[in-house]
Amino acid sequence: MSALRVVGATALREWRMWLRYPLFVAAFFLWPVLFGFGLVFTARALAGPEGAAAGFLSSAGTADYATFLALGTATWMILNWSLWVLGMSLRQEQWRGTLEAVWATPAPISLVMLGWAVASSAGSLVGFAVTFLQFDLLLGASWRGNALGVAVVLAASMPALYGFGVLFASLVLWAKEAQAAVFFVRGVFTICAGITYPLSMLPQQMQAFAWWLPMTHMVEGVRLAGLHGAALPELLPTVGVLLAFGAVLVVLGQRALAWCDRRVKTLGTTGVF
Amino acid sequence: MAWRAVVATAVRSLRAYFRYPFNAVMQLFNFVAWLPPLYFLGRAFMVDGSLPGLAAYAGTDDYAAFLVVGWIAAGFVYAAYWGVGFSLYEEMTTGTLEAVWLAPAPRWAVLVGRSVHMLVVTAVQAGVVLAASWLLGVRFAPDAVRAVWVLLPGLVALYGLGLAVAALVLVAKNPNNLIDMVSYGMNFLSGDRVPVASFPAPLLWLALAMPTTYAFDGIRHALLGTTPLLPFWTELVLLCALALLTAGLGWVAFRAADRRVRVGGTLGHH
Repeated sequence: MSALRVVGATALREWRMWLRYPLFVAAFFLWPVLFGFGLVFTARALAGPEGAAAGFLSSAGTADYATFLALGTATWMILNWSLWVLGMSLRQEQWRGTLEAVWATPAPISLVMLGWAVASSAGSLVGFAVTFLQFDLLLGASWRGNALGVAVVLAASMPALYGFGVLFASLVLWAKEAQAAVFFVRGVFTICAGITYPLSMLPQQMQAFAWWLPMTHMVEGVRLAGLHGAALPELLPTVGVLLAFGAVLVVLGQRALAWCDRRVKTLGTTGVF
Repeated sequence: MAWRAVVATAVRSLRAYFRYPFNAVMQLFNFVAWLPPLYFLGRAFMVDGSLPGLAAYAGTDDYAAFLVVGWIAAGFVYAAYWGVGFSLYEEMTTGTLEAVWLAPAPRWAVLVGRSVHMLVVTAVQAGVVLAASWLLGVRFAPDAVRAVWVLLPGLVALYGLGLAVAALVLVAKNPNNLIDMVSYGMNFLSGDRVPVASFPAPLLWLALAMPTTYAFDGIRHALLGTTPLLPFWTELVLLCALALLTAGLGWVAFRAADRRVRVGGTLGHH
Protein backbone atom coordinates (compact mmCIF):
# COMPACT_ATOMS: atom_id res chain seq x y z
CA MET A 1 0.00 0.00 0.00
CA SER A 2 2.74 2.45 0.98
CA ALA A 3 4.63 1.43 -2.15
CA LEU A 4 1.63 2.38 -4.26
CA ARG A 5 1.47 5.74 -2.47
CA VAL A 6 5.10 6.44 -3.33
CA VAL A 7 4.57 5.52 -6.98
CA GLY A 8 1.33 7.50 -7.19
CA ALA A 9 2.75 10.58 -5.43
CA THR A 10 5.80 10.66 -7.71
CA ALA A 11 3.74 10.27 -10.87
CA LEU A 12 1.25 12.88 -9.72
CA ARG A 13 4.01 15.35 -8.90
CA GLU A 14 5.54 14.94 -12.36
CA TRP A 15 2.20 15.45 -14.11
CA ARG A 16 1.49 18.56 -12.01
CA MET A 17 4.87 20.00 -12.91
CA TRP A 18 4.34 19.37 -16.64
CA LEU A 19 0.97 21.06 -16.48
CA ARG A 20 2.53 24.09 -14.75
CA TYR A 21 4.26 24.95 -18.04
CA PRO A 22 1.73 25.65 -20.81
CA LEU A 23 4.51 25.50 -23.40
CA PHE A 24 5.22 21.92 -22.39
CA VAL A 25 1.58 20.98 -22.90
CA ALA A 26 1.50 22.80 -26.23
CA ALA A 27 4.65 20.97 -27.32
CA PHE A 28 3.01 17.66 -26.50
CA PHE A 29 0.46 18.31 -29.25
CA LEU A 30 2.65 20.25 -31.65
CA TRP A 31 5.69 17.98 -31.81
CA PRO A 32 3.89 15.12 -33.52
CA VAL A 33 2.62 17.53 -36.18
CA LEU A 34 6.05 18.99 -36.79
CA PHE A 35 7.72 15.63 -36.81
CA GLY A 36 5.05 14.20 -39.06
CA PHE A 37 5.31 17.06 -41.51
CA GLY A 38 9.09 16.62 -41.56
CA LEU A 39 8.90 12.95 -42.45
CA VAL A 40 5.90 12.90 -44.77
CA PHE A 41 7.10 15.91 -46.77
CA THR A 42 10.54 14.31 -47.02
CA ALA A 43 8.90 11.17 -48.39
CA ARG A 44 6.84 13.25 -50.82
CA ALA A 45 9.94 15.07 -52.05
CA LEU A 46 11.75 11.76 -52.51
CA ALA A 47 8.77 10.40 -54.46
CA GLY A 48 9.10 13.40 -56.81
CA PRO A 49 6.55 15.67 -58.52
CA GLU A 50 4.75 12.64 -59.95
CA GLY A 51 4.31 11.18 -56.45
CA ALA A 52 5.81 7.88 -57.60
CA ALA A 53 6.33 5.52 -54.66
CA ALA A 54 7.32 2.50 -56.74
CA GLY A 55 10.65 2.29 -54.96
CA PHE A 56 8.99 2.36 -51.56
CA LEU A 57 6.45 -0.25 -52.61
CA SER A 58 9.14 -2.67 -53.65
CA SER A 59 11.23 -2.12 -50.49
CA ALA A 60 8.47 -1.85 -47.85
CA GLY A 61 5.70 -3.95 -49.36
CA THR A 62 3.30 -1.01 -49.25
CA ALA A 63 3.04 2.26 -51.14
CA ASP A 64 1.23 3.83 -48.16
CA TYR A 65 4.28 5.55 -46.74
CA ALA A 66 2.17 7.94 -44.63
CA THR A 67 0.71 5.14 -42.49
CA PHE A 68 4.08 3.34 -42.42
CA LEU A 69 5.74 6.51 -41.10
CA ALA A 70 2.83 7.27 -38.73
CA LEU A 71 3.17 3.96 -36.89
CA GLY A 72 6.95 4.22 -36.77
CA THR A 73 6.87 7.79 -35.49
CA ALA A 74 4.15 7.13 -32.91
CA THR A 75 6.23 4.24 -31.54
CA TRP A 76 9.34 6.42 -31.59
CA MET A 77 7.50 8.95 -29.40
CA ILE A 78 7.24 6.29 -26.69
CA LEU A 79 10.97 5.65 -26.79
CA ASN A 80 11.63 9.39 -26.75
CA TRP A 81 9.57 9.80 -23.60
CA SER A 82 11.30 6.90 -21.89
CA LEU A 83 14.70 8.41 -22.52
CA TRP A 84 13.93 12.06 -21.79
CA VAL A 85 11.54 11.64 -18.86
CA LEU A 86 12.58 8.41 -17.16
CA GLY A 87 16.18 8.33 -18.38
CA MET A 88 16.88 11.93 -17.41
CA SER A 89 14.73 11.90 -14.24
CA LEU A 90 17.57 11.76 -11.72
CA ARG A 91 19.47 14.41 -13.62
CA GLN A 92 16.40 16.67 -13.62
CA GLU A 93 16.16 16.37 -9.83
CA GLN A 94 19.84 17.21 -9.60
CA TRP A 95 19.35 20.33 -11.70
CA ARG A 96 16.45 21.48 -9.56
CA GLY A 97 18.47 20.83 -6.40
CA THR A 98 15.91 18.33 -5.11
CA LEU A 99 17.76 15.05 -5.63
CA GLU A 100 19.10 14.82 -2.06
CA ALA A 101 15.64 15.48 -0.64
CA VAL A 102 14.10 12.77 -2.83
CA TRP A 103 16.90 10.33 -2.09
CA ALA A 104 16.68 11.01 1.66
CA THR A 105 12.96 10.16 1.91
CA PRO A 106 12.16 6.81 3.58
CA ALA A 107 10.89 5.51 0.21
CA PRO A 108 13.26 3.28 -1.78
CA ILE A 109 14.62 5.06 -4.85
CA SER A 110 13.45 2.12 -7.00
CA LEU A 111 9.84 2.96 -6.14
CA VAL A 112 10.40 6.61 -6.95
CA MET A 113 11.77 5.49 -10.32
CA LEU A 114 8.66 3.39 -10.82
CA GLY A 115 6.61 6.53 -10.22
CA TRP A 116 8.55 8.32 -12.93
CA ALA A 117 8.00 5.32 -15.18
CA VAL A 118 4.25 5.49 -14.60
CA ALA A 119 4.24 9.22 -15.36
CA SER A 120 6.35 8.68 -18.47
CA SER A 121 4.37 5.65 -19.71
CA ALA A 122 1.02 7.39 -19.39
CA GLY A 123 2.37 10.43 -21.21
CA SER A 124 3.98 8.34 -23.90
CA LEU A 125 0.87 6.26 -24.60
CA VAL A 126 -1.24 9.39 -24.95
CA GLY A 127 1.55 10.72 -27.19
CA PHE A 128 1.31 7.58 -29.34
CA ALA A 129 -2.42 8.09 -29.87
CA VAL A 130 -2.06 11.84 -30.49
CA THR A 131 0.71 11.25 -33.02
CA PHE A 132 -1.21 8.68 -35.01
CA LEU A 133 -4.39 10.76 -34.91
CA GLN A 134 -2.58 13.81 -36.27
CA PHE A 135 -0.99 11.77 -39.06
CA ASP A 136 -4.46 10.44 -39.83
CA LEU A 137 -6.15 13.86 -39.84
CA LEU A 138 -3.43 15.96 -41.47
CA LEU A 139 -0.98 13.81 -43.37
CA GLY A 140 -2.89 11.12 -45.17
CA ALA A 141 -2.27 8.13 -42.90
CA SER A 142 -5.20 5.75 -42.55
CA TRP A 143 -5.94 3.32 -39.73
CA ARG A 144 -6.96 -0.14 -40.90
CA GLY A 145 -5.23 -2.37 -38.38
CA ASN A 146 -5.86 -4.37 -35.25
CA ALA A 147 -6.10 -1.93 -32.31
CA LEU A 148 -6.12 -4.68 -29.69
CA GLY A 149 -2.98 -6.15 -31.25
CA VAL A 150 -1.22 -2.76 -31.10
CA ALA A 151 -2.28 -2.37 -27.44
CA VAL A 152 -0.93 -5.84 -26.57
CA VAL A 153 2.43 -5.13 -28.26
CA LEU A 154 2.75 -1.78 -26.48
CA ALA A 155 1.86 -3.33 -23.11
CA ALA A 156 4.44 -6.08 -23.66
CA SER A 157 7.06 -3.41 -24.46
CA MET A 158 6.62 -1.48 -21.22
CA PRO A 159 8.85 -3.65 -18.95
CA ALA A 160 11.72 -3.40 -21.46
CA LEU A 161 11.30 0.38 -21.73
CA TYR A 162 11.16 0.70 -17.93
CA GLY A 163 14.29 -1.44 -17.46
CA PHE A 164 16.15 0.46 -20.14
CA GLY A 165 15.04 3.83 -18.72
CA VAL A 166 16.27 2.95 -15.22
CA LEU A 167 19.55 1.65 -16.62
CA PHE A 168 19.98 4.87 -18.56
CA ALA A 169 19.04 7.07 -15.57
CA SER A 170 21.74 5.34 -13.49
CA LEU A 171 24.27 5.92 -16.24
CA VAL A 172 23.26 9.58 -16.40
CA LEU A 173 23.76 10.01 -12.66
CA TRP A 174 27.27 8.65 -13.09
CA ALA A 175 28.11 10.65 -16.22
CA LYS A 176 26.18 13.79 -15.11
CA GLU A 177 25.61 15.77 -18.32
CA ALA A 178 24.10 13.35 -20.80
CA GLN A 179 21.83 15.06 -23.32
CA ALA A 180 24.20 14.04 -26.07
CA ALA A 181 24.01 10.43 -24.89
CA VAL A 182 20.22 10.61 -25.17
CA PHE A 183 20.57 11.78 -28.77
CA PHE A 184 23.08 9.06 -29.54
CA VAL A 185 21.16 6.18 -27.94
CA ARG A 186 17.91 7.41 -29.45
CA GLY A 187 19.67 7.64 -32.79
CA VAL A 188 20.94 4.06 -32.61
CA PHE A 189 17.42 2.86 -31.79
CA THR A 190 15.94 5.02 -34.54
CA ILE A 191 18.31 3.59 -37.13
CA CYS A 192 18.13 -0.03 -36.04
CA ALA A 193 14.40 -0.20 -35.36
CA GLY A 194 13.49 1.02 -38.83
CA ILE A 195 11.32 3.88 -37.62
CA THR A 196 11.30 5.58 -41.02
CA TYR A 197 12.13 2.76 -43.44
CA PRO A 198 11.92 -1.01 -43.79
CA LEU A 199 14.74 -2.88 -42.04
CA SER A 200 15.78 -4.44 -45.35
CA MET A 201 17.38 -1.08 -46.23
CA LEU A 202 20.09 -1.65 -43.61
CA PRO A 203 23.30 -3.52 -44.40
CA GLN A 204 23.18 -7.21 -43.35
CA GLN A 205 25.35 -6.78 -40.23
CA MET A 206 23.22 -3.91 -38.98
CA GLN A 207 20.06 -5.93 -39.57
CA ALA A 208 21.52 -8.76 -37.48
CA PHE A 209 22.38 -6.32 -34.67
CA ALA A 210 18.96 -4.66 -34.87
CA TRP A 211 17.13 -7.82 -33.81
CA TRP A 212 19.00 -7.71 -30.49
CA LEU A 213 17.22 -4.47 -29.58
CA PRO A 214 13.73 -4.51 -28.04
CA MET A 215 12.71 -1.41 -29.99
CA THR A 216 13.05 -3.28 -33.29
CA HIS A 217 10.55 -5.90 -32.15
CA MET A 218 8.27 -3.21 -30.77
CA VAL A 219 8.12 -1.36 -34.10
CA GLU A 220 7.79 -4.64 -35.99
CA GLY A 221 4.87 -5.72 -33.77
CA VAL A 222 3.12 -2.34 -34.01
CA ARG A 223 3.42 -2.38 -37.83
CA LEU A 224 2.30 -5.98 -38.07
CA ALA A 225 -0.86 -5.19 -36.09
CA GLY A 226 -1.43 -1.59 -37.14
CA LEU A 227 -0.55 -1.72 -40.84
CA HIS A 228 -1.14 -5.34 -41.84
CA GLY A 229 -3.89 -6.13 -39.29
CA ALA A 230 -2.13 -9.18 -37.84
CA ALA A 231 -4.27 -11.16 -35.37
CA LEU A 232 -3.16 -11.90 -31.80
CA PRO A 233 -1.80 -15.41 -32.48
CA GLU A 234 0.49 -13.96 -35.19
CA LEU A 235 1.79 -11.42 -32.69
CA LEU A 236 2.63 -13.95 -29.97
CA PRO A 237 6.28 -14.50 -31.01
CA THR A 238 6.91 -10.72 -30.95
CA VAL A 239 5.15 -10.36 -27.60
CA GLY A 240 7.20 -13.24 -26.16
CA VAL A 241 10.48 -11.68 -27.30
CA LEU A 242 9.48 -8.29 -25.86
CA LEU A 243 8.62 -9.83 -22.48
CA ALA A 244 11.95 -11.69 -22.43
CA PHE A 245 13.79 -8.42 -23.17
CA GLY A 246 11.75 -6.82 -20.38
CA ALA A 247 12.75 -9.47 -17.82
CA VAL A 248 16.46 -9.03 -18.59
CA LEU A 249 16.40 -5.23 -18.74
CA VAL A 250 14.39 -4.81 -15.53
CA VAL A 251 16.98 -6.91 -13.64
CA LEU A 252 19.87 -4.99 -15.24
CA GLY A 253 18.20 -1.65 -14.51
CA GLN A 254 17.58 -2.50 -10.85
CA ARG A 255 21.17 -3.67 -10.42
CA ALA A 256 22.53 -0.52 -12.00
CA LEU A 257 20.32 1.59 -9.77
CA ALA A 258 21.42 -0.30 -6.64
CA TRP A 259 25.07 0.18 -7.67
CA CYS A 260 24.44 3.85 -8.29
CA ASP A 261 22.65 4.18 -4.95
CA ARG A 262 25.66 2.74 -3.08
CA ARG A 263 28.12 4.81 -5.09
CA VAL A 264 26.56 8.24 -4.61
CA LYS A 265 25.93 7.60 -0.92
CA THR A 266 29.51 6.43 -0.33
CA LEU A 267 31.09 9.26 -2.30
CA GLY A 268 28.57 11.87 -1.16
CA THR A 269 28.05 13.05 -4.72
CA THR A 270 24.26 13.08 -4.84
CA GLY A 271 24.06 16.80 -5.41
CA VAL A 272 27.31 17.24 -7.31
CA PHE A 273 26.78 18.43 -10.86
CA MET B 1 36.23 45.73 -22.36
CA ALA B 2 33.35 44.15 -24.25
CA TRP B 3 35.65 41.79 -26.14
CA ARG B 4 37.35 40.75 -22.90
CA ALA B 5 33.89 39.84 -21.61
CA VAL B 6 33.19 37.86 -24.78
CA VAL B 7 36.45 35.93 -24.43
CA ALA B 8 36.02 35.36 -20.68
CA THR B 9 32.47 34.08 -21.16
CA ALA B 10 33.52 31.84 -24.05
CA VAL B 11 36.42 30.39 -22.02
CA ARG B 12 34.13 29.80 -19.05
CA SER B 13 31.55 28.04 -21.27
CA LEU B 14 34.16 25.86 -22.93
CA ARG B 15 35.64 24.91 -19.56
CA ALA B 16 32.19 23.95 -18.25
CA TYR B 17 31.55 22.01 -21.46
CA PHE B 18 34.75 19.98 -21.15
CA ARG B 19 34.05 19.29 -17.47
CA TYR B 20 31.68 16.63 -18.79
CA PRO B 21 33.95 14.67 -21.11
CA PHE B 22 31.40 11.91 -21.73
CA ASN B 23 28.87 14.45 -22.98
CA ALA B 24 31.52 16.34 -24.96
CA VAL B 25 32.56 13.21 -26.86
CA MET B 26 28.99 11.98 -27.41
CA GLN B 27 27.99 15.36 -28.83
CA LEU B 28 30.40 14.86 -31.73
CA PHE B 29 28.30 11.90 -32.81
CA ASN B 30 24.93 13.66 -32.69
CA PHE B 31 24.60 13.16 -36.42
CA VAL B 32 23.94 9.46 -35.82
CA ALA B 33 20.48 10.41 -34.54
CA TRP B 34 19.52 12.42 -37.61
CA LEU B 35 21.36 11.58 -40.79
CA PRO B 36 21.10 7.79 -41.18
CA PRO B 37 17.31 7.58 -40.64
CA LEU B 38 16.78 10.08 -43.47
CA TYR B 39 19.46 8.55 -45.66
CA PHE B 40 17.88 5.09 -45.38
CA LEU B 41 14.44 6.59 -46.01
CA GLY B 42 15.94 7.99 -49.21
CA ARG B 43 17.24 4.53 -50.13
CA ALA B 44 13.75 3.10 -49.66
CA PHE B 45 12.58 5.37 -52.50
CA MET B 46 15.37 4.47 -54.91
CA VAL B 47 14.52 3.07 -58.30
CA ASP B 48 17.42 1.17 -59.92
CA GLY B 49 19.93 2.89 -57.63
CA SER B 50 18.87 6.48 -58.29
CA LEU B 51 16.38 8.98 -56.94
CA PRO B 52 14.58 10.52 -59.91
CA GLY B 53 12.07 12.23 -57.60
CA LEU B 54 14.77 14.20 -55.80
CA ALA B 55 16.60 14.97 -59.03
CA ALA B 56 13.46 16.52 -60.48
CA TYR B 57 13.33 19.05 -57.62
CA ALA B 58 16.99 19.63 -56.76
CA GLY B 59 18.99 18.90 -59.87
CA THR B 60 20.91 16.13 -58.06
CA ASP B 61 19.95 12.65 -56.95
CA ASP B 62 22.85 12.38 -54.50
CA TYR B 63 20.71 12.45 -51.36
CA ALA B 64 23.65 11.66 -49.05
CA ALA B 65 25.55 14.80 -50.09
CA PHE B 66 22.33 16.84 -50.10
CA LEU B 67 21.61 15.73 -46.52
CA VAL B 68 25.14 16.24 -45.21
CA VAL B 69 25.25 19.87 -46.37
CA GLY B 70 21.75 20.50 -45.01
CA TRP B 71 22.60 18.91 -41.67
CA ILE B 72 25.75 21.02 -41.25
CA ALA B 73 23.90 24.24 -42.11
CA ALA B 74 21.06 23.28 -39.75
CA GLY B 75 23.64 22.58 -37.04
CA PHE B 76 24.65 26.25 -37.04
CA VAL B 77 21.00 27.30 -36.71
CA TYR B 78 20.62 24.98 -33.73
CA ALA B 79 23.83 26.46 -32.31
CA ALA B 80 22.33 29.96 -32.49
CA TYR B 81 19.12 28.83 -30.82
CA TRP B 82 20.67 26.70 -28.09
CA GLY B 83 24.00 28.44 -27.67
CA VAL B 84 22.46 31.84 -27.04
CA GLY B 85 18.94 31.11 -25.90
CA PHE B 86 19.35 27.98 -23.88
CA SER B 87 22.52 29.23 -22.21
CA LEU B 88 20.40 31.84 -20.47
CA TYR B 89 18.07 29.13 -19.24
CA GLU B 90 21.07 27.28 -17.82
CA GLU B 91 22.13 30.43 -15.96
CA MET B 92 18.57 30.76 -14.62
CA THR B 93 18.29 27.20 -13.34
CA THR B 94 21.75 27.19 -11.81
CA GLY B 95 20.98 30.51 -10.12
CA THR B 96 23.80 32.52 -11.71
CA LEU B 97 21.89 34.74 -14.13
CA GLU B 98 21.57 37.72 -11.77
CA ALA B 99 25.30 37.62 -11.01
CA VAL B 100 26.16 37.53 -14.72
CA TRP B 101 23.67 40.32 -15.47
CA LEU B 102 25.21 42.52 -12.76
CA ALA B 103 28.73 42.21 -14.17
CA PRO B 104 30.08 45.49 -15.60
CA ALA B 105 29.97 44.19 -19.19
CA PRO B 106 27.43 44.64 -21.98
CA ARG B 107 24.86 41.89 -22.02
CA TRP B 108 25.28 41.22 -25.71
CA ALA B 109 28.91 40.35 -24.91
CA VAL B 110 27.73 37.65 -22.51
CA LEU B 111 25.38 36.23 -25.14
CA VAL B 112 28.00 36.27 -27.87
CA GLY B 113 30.52 34.68 -25.50
CA ARG B 114 28.07 31.91 -24.65
CA SER B 115 27.45 31.26 -28.34
CA VAL B 116 31.13 30.83 -29.16
CA HIS B 117 31.42 27.43 -27.56
CA MET B 118 28.38 26.13 -29.46
CA LEU B 119 29.81 27.44 -32.72
CA VAL B 120 33.14 25.75 -31.97
CA VAL B 121 31.41 22.47 -31.10
CA THR B 122 29.23 22.68 -34.21
CA ALA B 123 32.28 23.35 -36.40
CA VAL B 124 34.03 20.28 -34.96
CA GLN B 125 30.85 18.21 -35.47
CA ALA B 126 30.74 19.40 -39.07
CA GLY B 127 34.34 18.27 -39.50
CA VAL B 128 33.51 14.82 -38.11
CA VAL B 129 30.49 14.49 -40.44
CA LEU B 130 32.45 15.63 -43.48
CA ALA B 131 35.24 13.18 -42.70
CA ALA B 132 32.78 10.32 -42.13
CA SER B 133 30.85 11.08 -45.29
CA TRP B 134 34.07 11.38 -47.31
CA LEU B 135 35.08 7.92 -46.07
CA LEU B 136 31.67 6.63 -47.16
CA GLY B 137 32.17 7.99 -50.65
CA VAL B 138 30.26 11.29 -50.54
CA ARG B 139 32.00 13.89 -52.71
CA PHE B 140 31.67 17.69 -52.93
CA ALA B 141 32.82 20.18 -55.55
CA PRO B 142 33.20 23.31 -53.45
CA ASP B 143 33.12 26.84 -54.84
CA ALA B 144 34.74 28.41 -51.75
CA VAL B 145 34.20 32.02 -52.82
CA ARG B 146 30.46 31.59 -53.25
CA ALA B 147 30.27 29.66 -49.94
CA VAL B 148 31.92 32.55 -48.04
CA TRP B 149 29.55 35.05 -49.67
CA VAL B 150 26.66 33.07 -48.18
CA LEU B 151 28.24 32.34 -44.80
CA LEU B 152 28.84 35.96 -43.77
CA PRO B 153 25.25 37.25 -43.96
CA GLY B 154 24.15 33.84 -42.68
CA LEU B 155 26.12 34.43 -39.50
CA VAL B 156 24.47 37.85 -39.00
CA ALA B 157 21.05 36.22 -39.36
CA LEU B 158 22.00 33.54 -36.83
CA TYR B 159 22.94 36.09 -34.18
CA GLY B 160 19.68 37.92 -34.82
CA LEU B 161 17.81 34.67 -34.23
CA GLY B 162 19.86 34.01 -31.10
CA LEU B 163 18.96 37.41 -29.65
CA ALA B 164 15.27 36.80 -30.35
CA VAL B 165 15.47 33.42 -28.62
CA ALA B 166 17.27 34.97 -25.64
CA ALA B 167 14.39 37.46 -25.36
CA LEU B 168 11.93 34.59 -25.39
CA VAL B 169 13.84 32.71 -22.70
CA LEU B 170 13.87 35.76 -20.42
CA VAL B 171 10.09 36.10 -20.69
CA ALA B 172 8.85 32.50 -21.12
CA LYS B 173 11.25 31.00 -18.52
CA ASN B 174 11.05 27.31 -19.51
CA PRO B 175 11.27 27.45 -23.27
CA ASN B 176 13.13 24.21 -24.10
CA ASN B 177 10.23 22.79 -26.02
CA LEU B 178 9.56 26.02 -27.83
CA ILE B 179 13.21 26.40 -28.83
CA ASP B 180 13.26 22.79 -29.95
CA MET B 181 10.10 23.12 -32.05
CA VAL B 182 10.90 26.47 -33.60
CA SER B 183 14.47 25.50 -34.50
CA TYR B 184 13.30 22.17 -35.94
CA GLY B 185 10.48 23.84 -37.87
CA MET B 186 12.74 26.57 -39.18
CA ASN B 187 15.40 24.13 -40.34
CA PHE B 188 12.83 21.92 -42.02
CA LEU B 189 11.18 24.83 -43.81
CA SER B 190 14.59 26.12 -44.86
CA GLY B 191 15.15 22.81 -46.62
CA ASP B 192 17.62 21.04 -44.34
CA ARG B 193 16.48 17.63 -45.68
CA VAL B 194 14.39 18.27 -48.79
CA PRO B 195 14.37 20.79 -51.62
CA VAL B 196 12.13 23.73 -50.72
CA ALA B 197 10.74 23.57 -54.26
CA SER B 198 8.87 20.39 -53.27
CA PHE B 199 6.72 22.21 -50.69
CA PRO B 200 3.09 23.14 -51.39
CA ALA B 201 2.44 26.86 -51.94
CA PRO B 202 1.70 28.01 -48.32
CA LEU B 203 4.82 26.31 -46.94
CA LEU B 204 6.89 27.55 -49.87
CA TRP B 205 5.93 31.17 -49.17
CA LEU B 206 6.75 30.71 -45.48
CA ALA B 207 10.11 29.23 -46.44
CA LEU B 208 10.89 32.12 -48.80
CA ALA B 209 10.36 34.61 -45.95
CA MET B 210 13.22 33.14 -43.92
CA PRO B 211 16.89 34.09 -44.37
CA THR B 212 18.00 30.53 -43.62
CA THR B 213 16.26 29.22 -46.76
CA TYR B 214 18.53 31.31 -48.98
CA ALA B 215 21.57 30.44 -46.85
CA PHE B 216 20.92 26.67 -47.12
CA ASP B 217 20.12 26.88 -50.82
CA GLY B 218 23.16 29.05 -51.55
CA ILE B 219 25.52 26.78 -49.62
CA ARG B 220 24.19 23.71 -51.44
CA HIS B 221 24.58 25.47 -54.76
CA ALA B 222 28.16 26.41 -53.84
CA LEU B 223 29.14 22.96 -52.56
CA LEU B 224 27.08 20.59 -54.68
CA GLY B 225 26.16 22.56 -57.76
CA THR B 226 22.44 22.08 -57.13
CA THR B 227 19.94 24.22 -59.02
CA PRO B 228 19.30 27.33 -56.86
CA LEU B 229 15.75 28.50 -56.14
CA LEU B 230 16.57 31.92 -57.61
CA PRO B 231 19.65 33.20 -59.44
CA PHE B 232 22.58 33.06 -56.96
CA TRP B 233 23.16 36.83 -56.69
CA THR B 234 19.43 37.51 -56.22
CA GLU B 235 19.43 34.98 -53.39
CA LEU B 236 22.45 36.71 -51.86
CA VAL B 237 20.77 40.13 -51.90
CA LEU B 238 17.65 38.69 -50.30
CA LEU B 239 19.75 36.87 -47.71
CA CYS B 240 21.59 40.08 -46.77
CA ALA B 241 18.35 42.06 -46.45
CA LEU B 242 16.61 39.40 -44.36
CA ALA B 243 19.72 38.90 -42.21
CA LEU B 244 19.86 42.59 -41.32
CA LEU B 245 16.13 42.60 -40.61
CA THR B 246 16.45 39.54 -38.36
CA ALA B 247 19.40 41.04 -36.48
CA GLY B 248 17.53 44.32 -35.96
CA LEU B 249 14.34 42.66 -34.77
CA GLY B 250 16.30 40.30 -32.51
CA TRP B 251 18.11 43.21 -30.90
CA VAL B 252 14.88 45.16 -30.29
CA ALA B 253 13.18 42.07 -28.81
CA PHE B 254 16.12 41.36 -26.53
CA ARG B 255 16.25 44.95 -25.25
CA ALA B 256 12.51 44.91 -24.54
CA ALA B 257 12.63 41.55 -22.74
CA ASP B 258 15.64 42.59 -20.70
CA ARG B 259 13.88 45.75 -19.57
CA ARG B 260 10.69 43.88 -18.80
CA VAL B 261 12.31 41.30 -16.48
CA ARG B 262 14.39 43.93 -14.71
CA VAL B 263 11.37 46.16 -14.08
CA GLY B 264 9.28 43.17 -12.99
CA GLY B 265 12.07 41.75 -10.83
CA THR B 266 11.69 38.37 -12.53
CA LEU B 267 15.15 37.99 -14.02
CA GLY B 268 16.08 34.81 -12.16
CA HIS B 269 12.60 33.23 -12.03
CA HIS B 270 12.28 29.85 -13.70
